[in-house]
Formats: sequence, structure tokens, C-alpha cells
Amino acid sequence: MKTKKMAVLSAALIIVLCAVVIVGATFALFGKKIDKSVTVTTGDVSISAEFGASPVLYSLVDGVQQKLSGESGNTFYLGGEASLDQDTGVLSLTGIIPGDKAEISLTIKNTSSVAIKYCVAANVTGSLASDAENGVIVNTGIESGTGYSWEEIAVQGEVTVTISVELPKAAEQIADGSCEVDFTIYAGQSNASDEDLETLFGLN
Amino acid sequence: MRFTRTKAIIIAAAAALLSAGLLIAATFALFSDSVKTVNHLQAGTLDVSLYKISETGVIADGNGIIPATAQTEDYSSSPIDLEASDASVFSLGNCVPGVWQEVTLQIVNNGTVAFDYSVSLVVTSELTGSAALLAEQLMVTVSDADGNAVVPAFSLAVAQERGEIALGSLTEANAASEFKVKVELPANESVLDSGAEGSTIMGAQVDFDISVKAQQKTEQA
Repeated sequence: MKTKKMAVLSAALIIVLCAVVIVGATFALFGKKIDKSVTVTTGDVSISAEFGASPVLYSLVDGVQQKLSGESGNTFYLGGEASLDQDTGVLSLTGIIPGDKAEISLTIKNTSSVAIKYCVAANVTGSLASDAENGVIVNTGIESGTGYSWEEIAVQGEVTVTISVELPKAAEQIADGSCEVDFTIYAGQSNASDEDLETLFGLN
Repeated sequence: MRFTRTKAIIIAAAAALLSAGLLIAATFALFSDSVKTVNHLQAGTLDVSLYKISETGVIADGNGIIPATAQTEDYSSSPIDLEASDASVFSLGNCVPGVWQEVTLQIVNNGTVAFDYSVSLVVTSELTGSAALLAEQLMVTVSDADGNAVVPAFSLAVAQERGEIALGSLTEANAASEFKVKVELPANESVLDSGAEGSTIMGAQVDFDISVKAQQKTEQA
């Protein structure tokens, strides 16, 4: 009986020891791990835009368009006026006649972390805007005429464009003609296509 | 008559003695032999190296210029040891939508033990605000050496749930294998401006660890 007990006890002990070995063996694998840290940051697109102090004016004098001296202030040769709101970027022209032209400078600075493309768009409202033949012509300094034209600016770079608003010499004079021109500068990452940027800003 | 009996007894006794001697001698005259063996027990070694073989992608350069086409750097003639403390896997600073980078990594069995290897990504920065938005948009693709995706592309935001991605095994000493990992910020969503703090991915940052693990190969039952 004693012998039988001893045999059972020994067998049980052996079973327990085997289980311990098996459990221990499950986690006792060789291994190695290599960890590397990665940081992803995104850039930003931002610009600053500043108009020149006051418009430079031109009028027809003896049939020839001439630049008016600073003494004329914001008044055209025959009394029309031009004013620029620095805060809103709105150029107002009142009482202008064919041949009157106002030029303003616009400095655009790329304050982004990446190179950008920019485009200056002008929106004309008022009686002098409604007539395609006799209304004002706006040249945003990049490309005269229609459509949008995108140019690049490097990081921390800046560009100064000259914008002109003119009532053509051949335009029919519209009594008390006036208009307001507001300018919008669009900017996007430089690797975007012009089409994608125009879609982004709803320009097409 | 007496002589013969005595002789017989003597002879018998002598024979008995001789037999006994033979028996005794025979008891110890068994055939025998022995062989001595010397056993050496030595543990194997599991040792791996991880190298960057090449990188390709569209990323901003030091001047913030983003190229129109992918640029490739080939390090195969002088692989970059990624265990070196200053070696980076990715260069993903100043990202904008459309930026991506894919690295080709090589794992080498420098030991004597066969192993299975895997890759995993774990975000280590707090995922709130713009970091969370960025992690959701960053897409990760793990491919084999031929560029075939091992698993479908997933966003960094769910990388931890993805866990370890099994890539294969190296069973012989000095064997090597390559795989690719790509991180991309797809041009899915336009961001017009930086907006309120944390509302867009402009000026955002997310950190993560990429880990390559080698574990002793075991036979499946």
C-alpha cells in the first residue's frame, strides 16, 4: 500500500514537472526587435499681401496718355478720382473718362513653409463694369486679358506686381461712370496643377 | 588397485581445480569494448541586421519645393544600417497633400537560428486635434520586394490595431530578404487655410515607431 502510494505520488510529481517544463519552453524563444522613430510634419500655405501707398494716375493730355504728377493726388486730369482702401484692397474710381488709368502696386510675400503658386484675380462692379467694350480693363500684372495665370514664389520669397485699371481711350464715355475693383490673391502649394488650384478655389 | 584409485582421485581433484581456475578466469575473460564520445552543447544565436536599400517618393526639399515627379535614392552599394542611432527610415517633414515616400528595407540573418520576421507601426504621439486628423489621413502600405502589398493599405490611425504584419522567414545563416514600407499623405482633401487650432492638418505633427521583429521559427503542429 505504502509502495503504491509512493508510486502514485512520484508519477504525479513527474507530470507536474513536465508541465512546468512545457510552459517554460513556450516562452523561451530567441528573438530580436529593431525600433525606429518617425516624425511626420505637415507644412502650411500662407501669404501676406500689401498694396502700395496710393495709386499712380494717368490721363489723356492733348490726346496722349501721360502720367500725372504726385501733385494731382488722387484726381485725374479732368477731375475723376481714384482711391484705394488699404485694409480691404478695394480700388474705387469715380468720374473717370476714356484714357484715365490708375496703377497700384501689390507686394505678395510667401510666408509658407513650401513654395507656392499665386494668382491675382480682379472683380469689377459698377456701371463701368457692365459693358465689355466700354468698361474698364484690369491688368493684374501677370497676364493681361482673360483667365487666370499662376506664378510661383519660393519660400520666404516675395513679388511685387503692378495692377492697372483703365478705361480705354476708345471707350464710349459713360456719364457718371464709376466702378469698384476688388482683388483676391489665391495661393496654393506649388506642385498642384493650375486646374486643381482653380477647382480648389471655385474659379472654374 | 590402490594406485589407480589414488591416481584417479588426484587427477579428479586437479581437474576440479583447473576447472575452477578456468571458471574464475573465464568469469573475467568476457569480450568487452568501450567507446568514449565527447558531446559539445552550444546554443545557437539569433542575430539580425536591418538596412535601408533605397527610398523613393515626392517630398519637399530643403527649399520647400515639391518635385513634379518621384525622386529616388539608391543605397544598395552602401546600405544604411538602421540600427545606428542617427539613421532615419523616413524623411517626412513639411508634407503637403500629394507627398509620399517608400523605403526598401533589407533584413539579414547574421545568426544561426531560423526566424520569422514582421513589421509593425505604433503611434507614439497623442492623437488629438490636428495630430489625430493627420494620422487619419496618412496611409501606410507594406509590400514585398516586388511591390505586391502584403496587406491592404491602412491609415496610421489604425496601425496599432493592425498589429504585427508577418513578412516571411529567413532559415539560413547570411540569408537576406527585402520588403517595402510606404507612407503617403494622399491629395484627397483640400485644406484652404490653417483654421482654428487643431482644425486642419496644416502645421500638424504625428510621431510613430516602426518596428521590425525577428522571432525564432517554430514548426506549426
